Amino acid sequence: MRSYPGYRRGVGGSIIFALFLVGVILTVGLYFVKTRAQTAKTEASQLLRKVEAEQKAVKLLRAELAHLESPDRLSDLAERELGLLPVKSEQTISPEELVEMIPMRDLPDGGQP
Amino acid sequence: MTQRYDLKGPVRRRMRIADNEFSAVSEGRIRIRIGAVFFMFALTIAVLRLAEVSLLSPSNSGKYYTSNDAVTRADIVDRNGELLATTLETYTLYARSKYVWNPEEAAQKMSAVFDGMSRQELLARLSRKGDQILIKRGLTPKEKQTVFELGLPGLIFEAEPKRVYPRGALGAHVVGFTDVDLNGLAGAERAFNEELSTENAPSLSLSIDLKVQNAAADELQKSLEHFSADTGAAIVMNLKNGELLAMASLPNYDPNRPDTALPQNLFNHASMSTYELGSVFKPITMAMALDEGVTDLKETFPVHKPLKVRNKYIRDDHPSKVPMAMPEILAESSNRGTAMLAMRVGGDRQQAFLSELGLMARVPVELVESAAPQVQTEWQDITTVTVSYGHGISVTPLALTTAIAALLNDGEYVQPTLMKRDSVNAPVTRRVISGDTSRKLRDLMRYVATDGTGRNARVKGYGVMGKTGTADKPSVDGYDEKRLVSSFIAAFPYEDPQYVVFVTFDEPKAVEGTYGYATAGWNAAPTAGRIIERIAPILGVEKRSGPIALSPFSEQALR
Repeated sequence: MRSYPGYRRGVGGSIIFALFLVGVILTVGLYFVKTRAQTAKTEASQLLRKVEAEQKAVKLLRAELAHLESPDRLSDLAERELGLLPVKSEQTISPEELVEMIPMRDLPDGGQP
Repeated sequence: MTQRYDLKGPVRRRMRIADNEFSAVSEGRIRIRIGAVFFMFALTIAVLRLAEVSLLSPSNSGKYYTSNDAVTRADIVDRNGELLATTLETYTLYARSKYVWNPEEAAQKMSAVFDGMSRQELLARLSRKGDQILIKRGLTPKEKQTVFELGLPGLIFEAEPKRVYPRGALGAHVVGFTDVDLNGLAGAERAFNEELSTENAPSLSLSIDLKVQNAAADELQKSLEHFSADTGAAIVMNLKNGELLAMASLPNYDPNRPDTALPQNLFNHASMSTYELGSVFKPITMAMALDEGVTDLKETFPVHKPLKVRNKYIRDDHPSKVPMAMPEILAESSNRGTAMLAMRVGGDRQQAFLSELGLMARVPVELVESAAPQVQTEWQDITTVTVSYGHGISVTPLALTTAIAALLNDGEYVQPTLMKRDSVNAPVTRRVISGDTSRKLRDLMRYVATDGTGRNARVKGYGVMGKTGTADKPSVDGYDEKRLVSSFIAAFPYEDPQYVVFVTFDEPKAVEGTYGYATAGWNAAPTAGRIIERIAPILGVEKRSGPIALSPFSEQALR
């Protein structure tokens, strides 16, 4: 007697087949999730690399800025290009002295200032 | 099989036909089954492999990109966060001779990028055989990119950290420099080497104010050139908390290229050179005499008469014809008067007092470059006399600045520091003289600037106090009167001293306008004055509008 399980598949067989299918689907799903996670990881490390590159660039720019705005360089430039020199004590005045030097004007209508 | 076909009746032919069909169908089914098995087998393998890949493959979660900077070093900034030293990436260019196609072409193209290297030099290096031929060190990122874009084969770039000092020579002696492996060799780089080389260390804030440093260094430089002095040093210190705001030493060097500097230029004269500083010591002797109560400000001393100690006549540069009291002794810088005060106090007390002011030992500042003083081993009465006016004892400019700062800081000695003061780095203080003596000393030093040898240091509105010091340099036989060390110690403002400024020149020369003098009143004093004029607004010291409160000894209308 030959039998054909294909024709006489019982409930047990279907369950096994269904489980197998679920297993396959889960495995495939897991594979995709894993792949995507890896892609994200690669992207993240690329971004980190970019951040580091930017940080290095910022450091470099900060150093360049520090060089360019060095007070000795600026005072040299100010003296050469604009003829500006450090302020002398005589050139500054305190608010009290200012009041003494510039007499207060009377208001046109004679009112109090 | 019989069961099934029995129902349909026993037809032989039919059965035969049915048999044929059956065998064909069954063969087909077997094939299908084999196919299915193969398919399932393949599918299972694929699924298993998928499962293996997704479940069992080694996790690479730890493989995030990490920095390849093995050596890091924290930045150094000034008290306002201005960058003084930083670490940048530079590149070293190597060639792998196997892959270099055309050395001539490569040399031709690269010589346009590097100005420091000729085509021949590049060609010579590129033609060498080897796996890692050094072409050039210290490429900036820009140079690296340019070379990279030339698209030459066989070139390798290797990243290398390098210490960069964007301010160049400004503050070079304070900041210092490192070797190629980023180990601090001088200045703050050396003093704070451990703090700086710790991983992820925060940037180090020095007490230095870059603007004050620039003003001090600039004025010092101008005066040094004007008076053709050999070397010079300037110090600005906050006497309330001991913070060093500026420390300049000339000649200086570029810390970016310390290897090209002359060895003597690396020397920090402000904290490393010891000098017999001369009369700038007189305020110390006076503070001691006043604090000991051996005299008062009114008693006069017979400075017009010769003074002989151990067969040695004490001479005065500007001999007086009348007896003088302490204010005049200081203002006219009388050696005899100061000697008499010191002798009255005595040598033992003098030594103890100098120790309290930190003049008998190395200044406890963070810098390694802080020299110990040279003090006579046998303290005779002549030593007491000469030390009272700053001879026979060699100290660093920093030591004297700290001592005078203590005298003017209400009598409290504050340990100087190169680090910005905060709750962790709080000042260490100790009382050396009474507040009353400190106030008297303030008056005395103000009198020097209004009526005495320090008149050239005055700055309108800031109430400068000070004391000049001109010392002959020791030579083989005694002292050489032609070679001088001139210095000026100044403090301001008079009502409430906050900052002390010290300027010293080694061997300044007399120039036009100084009437043949190369003494401190003509070079160091005006330099200190100009420094104060520039830094007072930076430091937020308010300019006084009216006449400054007068020194009680002065009758002159003061400015």
